[in-house]
Amino acid sequence: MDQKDFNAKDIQPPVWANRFLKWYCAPNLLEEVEGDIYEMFYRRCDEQSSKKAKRMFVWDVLRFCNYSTIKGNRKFFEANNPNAMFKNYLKVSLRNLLNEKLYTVVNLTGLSIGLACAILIGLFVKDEWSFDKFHSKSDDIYRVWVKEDHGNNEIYFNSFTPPVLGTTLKNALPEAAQVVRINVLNTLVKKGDFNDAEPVLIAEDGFFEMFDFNVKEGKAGDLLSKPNYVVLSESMAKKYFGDADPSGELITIEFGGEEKPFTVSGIVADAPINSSIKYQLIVSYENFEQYSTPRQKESWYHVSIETYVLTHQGTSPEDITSKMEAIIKEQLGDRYPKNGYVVGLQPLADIHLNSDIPVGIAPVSDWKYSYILGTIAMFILLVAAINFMTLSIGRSLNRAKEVGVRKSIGATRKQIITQYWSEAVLTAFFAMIVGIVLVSLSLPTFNSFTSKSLSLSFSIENILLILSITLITGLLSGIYPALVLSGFSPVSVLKGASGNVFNRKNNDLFRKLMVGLQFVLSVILVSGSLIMREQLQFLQNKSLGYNQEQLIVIPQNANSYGFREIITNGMESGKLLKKELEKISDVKIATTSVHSFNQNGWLALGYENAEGIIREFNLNVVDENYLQVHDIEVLDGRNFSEEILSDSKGAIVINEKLAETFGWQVGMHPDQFPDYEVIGVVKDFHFTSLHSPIKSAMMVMNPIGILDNINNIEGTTSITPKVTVKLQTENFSAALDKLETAYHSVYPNLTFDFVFVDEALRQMYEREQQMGNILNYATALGLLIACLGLFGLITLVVNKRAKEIGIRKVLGAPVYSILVQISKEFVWIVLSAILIATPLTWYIMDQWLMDFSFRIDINPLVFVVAGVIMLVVTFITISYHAYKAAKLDPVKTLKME
Amino acid sequence: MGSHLGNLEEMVLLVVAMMNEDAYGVSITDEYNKQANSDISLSAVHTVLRRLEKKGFIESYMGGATQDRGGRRKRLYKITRYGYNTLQEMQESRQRIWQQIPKISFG
Repeated sequence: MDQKDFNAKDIQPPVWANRFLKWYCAPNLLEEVEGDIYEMFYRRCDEQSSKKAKRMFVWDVLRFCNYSTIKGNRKFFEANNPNAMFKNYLKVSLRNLLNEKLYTVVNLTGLSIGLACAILIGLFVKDEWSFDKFHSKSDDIYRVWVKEDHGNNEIYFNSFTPPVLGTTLKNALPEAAQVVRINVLNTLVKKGDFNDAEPVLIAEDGFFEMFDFNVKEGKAGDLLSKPNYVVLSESMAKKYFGDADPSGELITIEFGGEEKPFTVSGIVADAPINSSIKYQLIVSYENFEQYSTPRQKESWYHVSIETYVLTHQGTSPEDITSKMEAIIKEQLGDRYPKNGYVVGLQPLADIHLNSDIPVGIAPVSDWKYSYILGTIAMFILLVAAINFMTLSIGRSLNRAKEVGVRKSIGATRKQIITQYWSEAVLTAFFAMIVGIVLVSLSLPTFNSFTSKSLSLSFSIENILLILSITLITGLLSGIYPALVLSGFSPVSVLKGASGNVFNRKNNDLFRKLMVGLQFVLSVILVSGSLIMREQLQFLQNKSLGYNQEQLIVIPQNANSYGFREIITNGMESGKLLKKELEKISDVKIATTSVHSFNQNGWLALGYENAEGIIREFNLNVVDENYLQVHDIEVLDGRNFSEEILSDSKGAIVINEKLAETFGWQVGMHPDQFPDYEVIGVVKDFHFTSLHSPIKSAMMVMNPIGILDNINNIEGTTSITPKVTVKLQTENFSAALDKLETAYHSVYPNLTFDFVFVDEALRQMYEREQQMGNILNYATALGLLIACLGLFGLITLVVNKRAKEIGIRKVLGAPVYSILVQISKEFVWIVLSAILIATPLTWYIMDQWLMDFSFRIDINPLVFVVAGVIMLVVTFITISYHAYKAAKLDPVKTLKME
Repeated sequence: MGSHLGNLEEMVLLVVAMMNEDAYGVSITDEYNKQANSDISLSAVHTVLRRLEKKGFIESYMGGATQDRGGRRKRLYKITRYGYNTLQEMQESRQRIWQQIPKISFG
């Protein structure tokens, strides 16, 4: 034996490659081609390494895979292979779709609406989940949150952090690769004569390196390197400079009541829609520090800015937080909170959907709504898929012969399954095309419902999303028909013994179960939307403890920097504005206050009393008109008065809740605030949204003595004093014109802005409102699809029972008894569906209602209403065919053979 | 299909004619690559051989199984008279034109 033989035995080319060659190669060419490739292989084994030879073998096999080598391969091109059979399946499927128009319409309508819903909601969910993931370092960027626990349930949990936290991170923790602190300040921006109030983002140098925002002009590293640099978004550049190049130009921004010139150092593209961090103008962090007091800069209890940290790859967030906590403990010494000062890192991509962590600068969406929407889409799709199933099984008798013939010729069960499955998938694909049209038609409406700007672009991701939804739907709806039809025995089918060909009982049971499931889903949708509607109406009609009618809030600009200055100066300037506004005849009365009812929540303050218990309450700084403007009822004591001089210095009005928890009464001087006297107690009113309960509230005209004696302060809404106006007119637009004129007489250079309180209140429940709307539509669509299916099904049932009905009629049955006979089955299904759906819906909706502090109890009547709706709809759907069948001349049906 | 002979086809035909006895896929590829100093692939040669056979320039038969091909037979190729004549004609016409080229100097 020579060496080659040794090789031939020892080293073999990759088996799979050879198998591939054998598969594609024309049989008459196989020997020579295979021989040549093997010869080369063994030669290469000798001359080069066996590894390379194997690689080259694969390469050769691939190179031979061309038309000239495949050409003689009959199985590739002729009818004894699955590819050719598919052609036949396609043809038969199309014929069936065209022949049975009613079913085709029912199936296509249902599936296309279902798919359209699924695509829409898929786009929505994809958008929600894509938030902040476009940054290349997204996985290593975290936002810091802090939680102080002072005991007695006094916990301050914030996504805003003290500035000193960022400084410490930078200096003491090498694990933090980069730290960027940001804040947003609404202030006045001027360019020449033109000015407007804009949100100015204050961001630390390094902002453009940590986040991947698209810098259009300027070098990312230099944009914020000097305190007097400003970066403009593209839309701001256009707003203030038009088409001119703004680079190096000057623009004035007001800080702390002072107008400061800034040089435009660069331009960035507008922030993507799915970015939590939004910006218009960006200035460096030094601007914030310049106007902070040392206390604000040093205190661990003064939260004011968001801190973002980029960690080195492989660093776990726990490393950073545990070290931070140790440092804080050391620095605070005996001022360390009783139950700890916890620091946490929230992943950047988590910010948009995690509602467990307090809202920072960016609004947070609720992941629950993604799930609710996803479930709704699944329900609708399921209802449509069930239509396909029940109708296919119903029609299976008609196609039994076809299956028999195919099987006799030699089709295997596997092939029949493939056939019916491909038919289902084909139908789903037709439905997808219609569905895409529906999506593009309904997208604008959907966008306005969800306040998103989704678009159906045919990106690879979207195409994959749509295709996979379609494929899954097709496979799901085709699975049972495929299994049933393929199970027919050819002999009995062809003999015509249709009664015994398949297990009728099983199929009937399955059909009933499926229809039952449809009804269960429908009842859940119907009763769910009824409950949601009831809760929304409850929220809108609930007495808020004040009168929200005809209230307009006119915000002022913060014309100073520093907490107290903003409040005191704003209250002063508010007085001027108020006087001007009250001159207008349409204005009944006006008031200046730090918080107005278009906002959700007041300043939250906390102090430690003599017993060491932390007490928390909410504060509003008001004037003597506040209670009157809002029709808030005084239960005890009196309102603030202009005549009593001490009121503007040291008077407190509290709400019932505070009186109850703190035990304060009219006439007392609280221990913590000895300079103040409680002058009145008012009835509780809702100064936050109805998601949260009423908390202790205090109103004063002079906040300084209060602010001096507290330990903690926390605010999520603007504290710039606003003027609230009570109108007495029906002509709002005329009144608004007058308000604007009055406003400009006080603030000639500012833009007039206003908010209707009732409008703003509605917006607080916007998300619930949107969900309610979507659920209403989904319910209508789900019901429609289920009815269509029922309509198709009833025709089948009636046809099948035509003879039975004929015999009944001959024997003297009246029309109504036949109607009852046909409807009976469905009524039972509906009734059991209601029984099953009731506890399910109860549980689901109860979970949803738990989000509200003020909620309805689920009224059992809702399920009765839903049941009646279902029964009526069912009856209307089936009555047409049932009645037709009952009226039919029995002679005709009995003669029919 | 016409009897037109492409450039690669002509070269492969020449190699087949040259080898006369033992011309099959691997040997033709080797010889071609040696003569033309190139690196053409086995599959390309196979394709050309099939085309040449279809056009009638060469004929083939199976034979010559050897151990180093795992006992598989080779398809051996032989030039046909028609192929030989075609080559000769091409050669002659080429020669004719070549001889009519005046002496060209490339300064």
